Amino acid sequence: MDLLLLSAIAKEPLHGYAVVEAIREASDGALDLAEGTVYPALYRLEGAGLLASSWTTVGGRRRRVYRLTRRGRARLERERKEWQAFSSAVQAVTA
Amino acid sequence: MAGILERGAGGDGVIDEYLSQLRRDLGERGVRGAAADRVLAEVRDHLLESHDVERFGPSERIAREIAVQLATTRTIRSTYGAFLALAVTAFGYLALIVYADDRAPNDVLAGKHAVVGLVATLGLLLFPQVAFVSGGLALLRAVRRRGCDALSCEELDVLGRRAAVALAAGGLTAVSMLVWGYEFGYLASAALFGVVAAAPPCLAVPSLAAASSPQAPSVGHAEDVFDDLRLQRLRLRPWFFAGGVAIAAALVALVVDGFVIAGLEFGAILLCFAWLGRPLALRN
Repeated sequence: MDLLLLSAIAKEPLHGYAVVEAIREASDGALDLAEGTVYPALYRLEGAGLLASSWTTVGGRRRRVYRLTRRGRARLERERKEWQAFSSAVQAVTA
Repeated sequence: MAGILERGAGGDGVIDEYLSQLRRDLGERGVRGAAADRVLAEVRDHLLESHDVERFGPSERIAREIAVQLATTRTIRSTYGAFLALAVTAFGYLALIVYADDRAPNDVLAGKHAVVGLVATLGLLLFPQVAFVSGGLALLRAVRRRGCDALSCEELDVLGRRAAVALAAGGLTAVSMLVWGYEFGYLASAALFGVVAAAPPCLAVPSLAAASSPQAPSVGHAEDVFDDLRLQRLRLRPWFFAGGVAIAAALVALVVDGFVIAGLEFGAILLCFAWLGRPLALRN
């Protein structure tokens, strides 16, 4: 979950719904997150200093936009490497 | 017109109803005020984009997950805050010790009121150590749990109690400093250092109290000091562990301060282990 959220937000700052949509689109609908569960995860990542957020106003309504911090970018790199190593290992066994 | 067309599964009326229910569910979990307002504003924005309340999930589940997350983040953050506050308290305490080192009378019964002066002196010996040990254990647990998804309510209770005991002991250290200063004629300097020592714990209390507001229903086992110190083999013999710590502290006190203080150290550590052992997860 963390890897997905951080990857989506790494490309550009996004609000909650856009994060869900970005993951859904990037995976051609294969990763269809339970939408409400994204927010506790975003709060956790923000609490850990991996994300920062700020309010903007769009179409007259308030919107919280999340962006990656420097620490978040470092974590993303680490998680990507770990995932690639894990994925390669599984592929090597199952191929 | 758009609003009318949207009524149904994700129309404005349905969204408002969902948000009202979510507010109630958050309130029942202790998530209120600015934290709840933020969640509701974000969920409202989300639902006005997706127009699909069902896909968002049951409000009760969302409220529960958010409460667990907030409780975890706030408790760990307030533990760090408490430890920083105690570091300032330690500075004030050490400043008084250094100041009084050459000036303090050797007779602990030489205060204006013998018993009060004696109690204040014992407080100066005991409370800083309780604050240090409890604060250190709280910090150790917070560091170990850093980055965890969500802590169980048992784990949060342990962290909160360790931080609370550390802050209370820090506050009592400051009170002991003031009373000691009054009793032995160093009120001005003791007041100065005492205020330095007392202010940070007082400032840290609201943060710790706010951390306990969200009710985290996540169940799970809370670890104890033997997990913290990676001494699991001693879990079945906690008093053996306490005795070892007491003897080590007493030996140090014997070299530095003499036999009487060493005896006090030994007794105080065992007494604290008996009294605070379970609340601070030092033993089961």
